[in-house]
Amino acid sequence: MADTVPAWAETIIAAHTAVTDAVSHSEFLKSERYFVWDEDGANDLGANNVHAEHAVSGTTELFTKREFDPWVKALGKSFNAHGVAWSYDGCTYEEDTGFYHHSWLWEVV
Amino acid sequence: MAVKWRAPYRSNNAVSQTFNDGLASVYTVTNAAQPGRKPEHALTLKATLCFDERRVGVERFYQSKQAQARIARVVRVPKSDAPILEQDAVRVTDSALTYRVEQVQSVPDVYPACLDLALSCVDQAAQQATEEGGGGNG
Repeated sequence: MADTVPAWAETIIAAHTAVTDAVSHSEFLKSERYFVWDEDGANDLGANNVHAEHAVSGTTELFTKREFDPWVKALGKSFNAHGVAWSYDGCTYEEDTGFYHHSWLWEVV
Repeated sequence: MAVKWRAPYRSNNAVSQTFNDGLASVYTVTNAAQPGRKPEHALTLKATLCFDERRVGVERFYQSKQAQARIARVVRVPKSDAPILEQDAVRVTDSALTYRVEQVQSVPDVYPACLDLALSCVDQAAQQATEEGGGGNG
């Protein structure tokens, strides 16, 4: 039986696929230009001794060989449109592979 | 102008390569998952070839472990029209396991022309059993 996709994951997937279909969860793709996202924690709101609000935090990485990839700006806009709180965590150029490696941190309710 | 490939001259006593150890099916591996989801590997049959089992060898086995490749077996197959690439998947008739092609080497001085495929286990439980058993026939 297939796993049910949680609502927060549907939001994250929709935010990414609004930019491109070259998106994967957790595992890298054999591609020269793609996003990979992964959840890594939570930032719940505690109130009255319970988790009153649940928020999932995670990261997104873009691996691309394009020097000024338009997907960088597009993803930020898409996060805004889908109500995802985000920050851009910087870019690293990997000399041995030729990839630009961009990172974002995000949280979604 | 492209040079047409011709079979090498064979004398009556020339050594020829046999492929009597079974059938090997070679697959292309693609991602069949929906966009945004964890990749799911889909296999598309590329070629079904007879194969000859070859020795992994002690040196090749331990050097592949150092390189994190873990060669489980080496098979020799005839060259086919469909190119066999690294990262293709292979299934053989004597095993329920799926292997990944780690290296493709052309074999000189044999007839018919053939390739040696170095294969690593994709199945994790089988990979551990291969390591515990020492791997290879030598």
